[in-house]
Amino acid sequence: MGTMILKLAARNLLRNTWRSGLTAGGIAVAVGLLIWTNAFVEGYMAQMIEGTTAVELGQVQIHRGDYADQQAIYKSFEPKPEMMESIRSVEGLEAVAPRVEFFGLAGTERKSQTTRILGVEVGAEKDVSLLDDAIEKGRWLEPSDQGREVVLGQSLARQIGVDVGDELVVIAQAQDGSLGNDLLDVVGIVKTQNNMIDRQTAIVPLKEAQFLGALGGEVHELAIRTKKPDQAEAVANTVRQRLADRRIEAIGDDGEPKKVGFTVQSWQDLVPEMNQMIQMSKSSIWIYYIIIYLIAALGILNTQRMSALERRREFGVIQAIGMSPGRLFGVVMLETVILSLFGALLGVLAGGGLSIYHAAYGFDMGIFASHDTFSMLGVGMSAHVYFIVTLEGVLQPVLALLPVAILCGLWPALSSANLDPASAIAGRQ
Amino acid sequence: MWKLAWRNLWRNRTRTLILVSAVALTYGMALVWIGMSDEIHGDMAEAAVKTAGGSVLIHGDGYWDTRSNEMLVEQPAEVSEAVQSVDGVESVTQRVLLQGLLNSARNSNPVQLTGLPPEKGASIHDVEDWVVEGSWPDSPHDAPIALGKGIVESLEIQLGDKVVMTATAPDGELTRALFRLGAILDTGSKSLNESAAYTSLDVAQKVMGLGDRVTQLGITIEDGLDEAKMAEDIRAAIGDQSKAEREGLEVLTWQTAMPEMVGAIELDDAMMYVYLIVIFLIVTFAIANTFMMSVMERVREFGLFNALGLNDRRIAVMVLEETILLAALAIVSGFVLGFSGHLIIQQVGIDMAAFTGGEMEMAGVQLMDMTITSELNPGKWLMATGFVFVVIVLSALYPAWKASRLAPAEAMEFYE
Amino acid sequence: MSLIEVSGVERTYRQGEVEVHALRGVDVTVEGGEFSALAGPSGSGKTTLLNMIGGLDSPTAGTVDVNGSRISDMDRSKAADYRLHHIGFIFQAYNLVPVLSAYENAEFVMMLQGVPKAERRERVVPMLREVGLEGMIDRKPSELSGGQQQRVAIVRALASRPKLILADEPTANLDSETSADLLDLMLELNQEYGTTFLFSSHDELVLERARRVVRLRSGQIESDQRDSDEQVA
Repeated sequence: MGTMILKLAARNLLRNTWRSGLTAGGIAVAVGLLIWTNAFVEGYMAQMIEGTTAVELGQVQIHRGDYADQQAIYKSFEPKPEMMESIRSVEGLEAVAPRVEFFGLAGTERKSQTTRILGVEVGAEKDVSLLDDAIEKGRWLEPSDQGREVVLGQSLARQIGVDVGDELVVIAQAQDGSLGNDLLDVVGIVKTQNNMIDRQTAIVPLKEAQFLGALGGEVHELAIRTKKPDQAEAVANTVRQRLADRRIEAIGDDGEPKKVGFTVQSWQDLVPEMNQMIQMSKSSIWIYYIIIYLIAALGILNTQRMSALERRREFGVIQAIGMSPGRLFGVVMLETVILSLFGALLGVLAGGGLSIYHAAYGFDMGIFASHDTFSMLGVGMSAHVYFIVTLEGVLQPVLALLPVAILCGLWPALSSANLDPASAIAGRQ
Repeated sequence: MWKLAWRNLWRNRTRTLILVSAVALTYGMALVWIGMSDEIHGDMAEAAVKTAGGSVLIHGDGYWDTRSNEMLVEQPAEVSEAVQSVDGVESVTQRVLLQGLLNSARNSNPVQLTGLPPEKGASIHDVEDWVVEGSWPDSPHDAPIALGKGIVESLEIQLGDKVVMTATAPDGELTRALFRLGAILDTGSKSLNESAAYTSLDVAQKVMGLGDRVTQLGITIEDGLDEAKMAEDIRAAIGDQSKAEREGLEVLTWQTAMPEMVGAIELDDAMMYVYLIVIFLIVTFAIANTFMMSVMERVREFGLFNALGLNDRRIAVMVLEETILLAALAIVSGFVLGFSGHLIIQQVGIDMAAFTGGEMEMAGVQLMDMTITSELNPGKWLMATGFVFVVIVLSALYPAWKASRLAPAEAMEFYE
Repeated sequence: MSLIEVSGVERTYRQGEVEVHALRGVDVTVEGGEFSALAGPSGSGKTTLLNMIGGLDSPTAGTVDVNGSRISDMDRSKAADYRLHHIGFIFQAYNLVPVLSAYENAEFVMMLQGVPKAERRERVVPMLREVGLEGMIDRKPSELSGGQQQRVAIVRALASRPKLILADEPTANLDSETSADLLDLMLELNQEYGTTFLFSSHDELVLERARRVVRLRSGQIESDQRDSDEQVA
């Protein structure tokens, strides 16, 4: 019985191949477009997250508790080996690197610029960020960590007017208020598309930065890279628990000694506007779903209604010889669902195929614009987007189509089931 | 013939209504979408102009790329006069822009110090409107400075406190200048609050030893003029006044100054058109389908027309006439829909601030106007309308052709 | 108890402002095994009466009982179910499901009844052979002539072994030779299976063969003639 209904429905669709074909084609374009959009947004957002976190930020950062409200050079802490050990053993953590960060002036005798001095432990930093990969000219810092050398952001180097091989004077107000200065060799230039780094940052070995800032063995930041980007919040939570009871002696703003703890932040906490952007982009896809399916629905509705109207006499006969209205309803409904699923399948093949192609070779949005890079929230974005095809991104448009198809099938199915067999057979409306 | 086409259209009322509403809905939505995009892009462009300092900018040659404190406009008064004589120029504002480090006893903070002439409106940003504490531009102090509230918090200072700015002077020497906090600003943007500092033009010139020289001439132009063309005219005008002076200046449009923003707008625009075209493709399937149905249904009738002496061409023309009427109907109702949507959004506005936390940085520009309204661009709307019309008529071409070709017997087979 | 008992049936339609009285008080009974026809010009009410008996239409007044069940009181679903199990239908030409083959059309009613596949085959194949459709059972209706299509419709009606077959102008759209063959076939089947046949028709070929002709005019019974020679049993 079930197979009979299925057979009837399928054959009825095949009876009018051009009509079913056009309707399925419309559905396929709609589903394909949504699958493609999902893969595009996934890829684009991954690029944004990567741009935000991979270059420098890391997925999780640890600071002294009072550092977040106001970043000041004296708000440093000592990364004790056993503390580092307890952080390193957190599941999902790939690497952790200590950093020193403060503002100073960097320049030559002729000219200097306000500069963010970033001290990194060369060996550890390699595993956390992509700063070393961003070398545009020259080389990255010596792994020995002993060099009196500096790597500059590209725009900063141009502003100061120095190049690889030149010497650079760095002056900074140290933690104790004294003025620290040193003469460093420019060994490399980085270009990251991240404005903060390219325009303002001078990267020096950790020990050099600690010397300039008179910080001893202390640091400002521990940056963590997680094994996967989506583990950031979980790792942050675990680290937060492990550091919850640790306190360090510090001098408060009022000059009185006090105890402060640690702040652990995931990139979502650190760049909330980026996180919001991503969430908003993901949720606004539903507007596309609504618009596209509303239009596709009107197409489906029109064809299925016509096809049911055309067969009134046939449905009258079928009911007269004993098919119940309920079964007839099922047959007509099933037609719409099968047609929609077939269209969806075509859409999955077309949209999925195109997405996979764009995942492998990238999609070049630059063909639409005269400039092929742009930046958002300070992160440089390439117009060449590599799509990410997820099972969810492919299935969601198909699943969302089902209720649409069912709604569109209701009218024709109900009117077929409720027709008056006597007048339908006689050819009266 | 038109009358017959019209009646044919209404023979199947529901079908025509569904089709018309599908097209009208899509077309109306496209109009609203275009309107909202234009408004957003307008806001983005406006924000970019504000960030850059004007629609057209004049700096010492090479300044924009390096933001170097020592690249200056040597004779700003003369250049300004020459620029003002150009048709279409609204205003010319002289500014000093200095990158430097601001120090208090407690802390230091990098800033961009902008020196502004005293008259109101001299900045494209309305500094006066941002003042939350203190007074601006009138100040009891000799060298007043207005700072974003983020800087004030970071430096832990109060109104009247001293701050020292360390910056490179034009001669390349590191110079320290003393200011007193005259006003605290809330710009509405977190990052501006953390980096923006203002003082008066003459104070900036004096403390940095600039003499009459300025960093930037920000030029606003009358609405609707082409920036590139204006830049061309301005370049020529400066050239006329003093050839030597021109050699050392760069004249930029905001588009050349902020290429990433132009890229972002173009990309967004292009993606919108890609989506609109694909969505219309879906509609095309529905239209072609419906017309195919209506043609096949009436194949006997067409045979009758044929017998009555209507030739094939005229049958095709009749079907096309039906399409044109349907397109017109859909476009009229879609326009009513789209235009009302546009008016409503223009009046009410969609507040995006709730999603983005009040501001959004894009291509180095703070977008602070996060309320989307709609802007009517007649050219674009007309283009979209033409596109919809052509798409509908094209999608009925095959059914029309088929109608003129089909022998009734063949059609019955095709149809059953 | 008679197979069909129609008593005091009236049927009024509204056509715009006008009331049309299709049936104005009809009483008629039909016994099991009859081969009878409702005759009359078009508009006389014969199709309406047939539809009443098949539960496709409900009377404005009066009752219709078939096989002891009050079909005139059933709702749509019940009536459909009743038809499925107790009544076979044959309509004018072109009443097969176009997407199903001759065989599938013939077994359609049994499939709806839930008769197992093997049994359906057992019943349908010999009957299709009997009506002369051997070798055509996989053809679609569009590949069969009008007469052949009606033979499939007859098998479809008969195969489920109903007590009653209602045939509404079964010979319309057919030439007289084909009609005659078809009617002879139905008469044969009537005798072979004892199935009651009730026609509505104004075709002389039908009326010649019917053993009882009930004539209607303007919604009322005008005459009720039995072929007494053959009724003697």
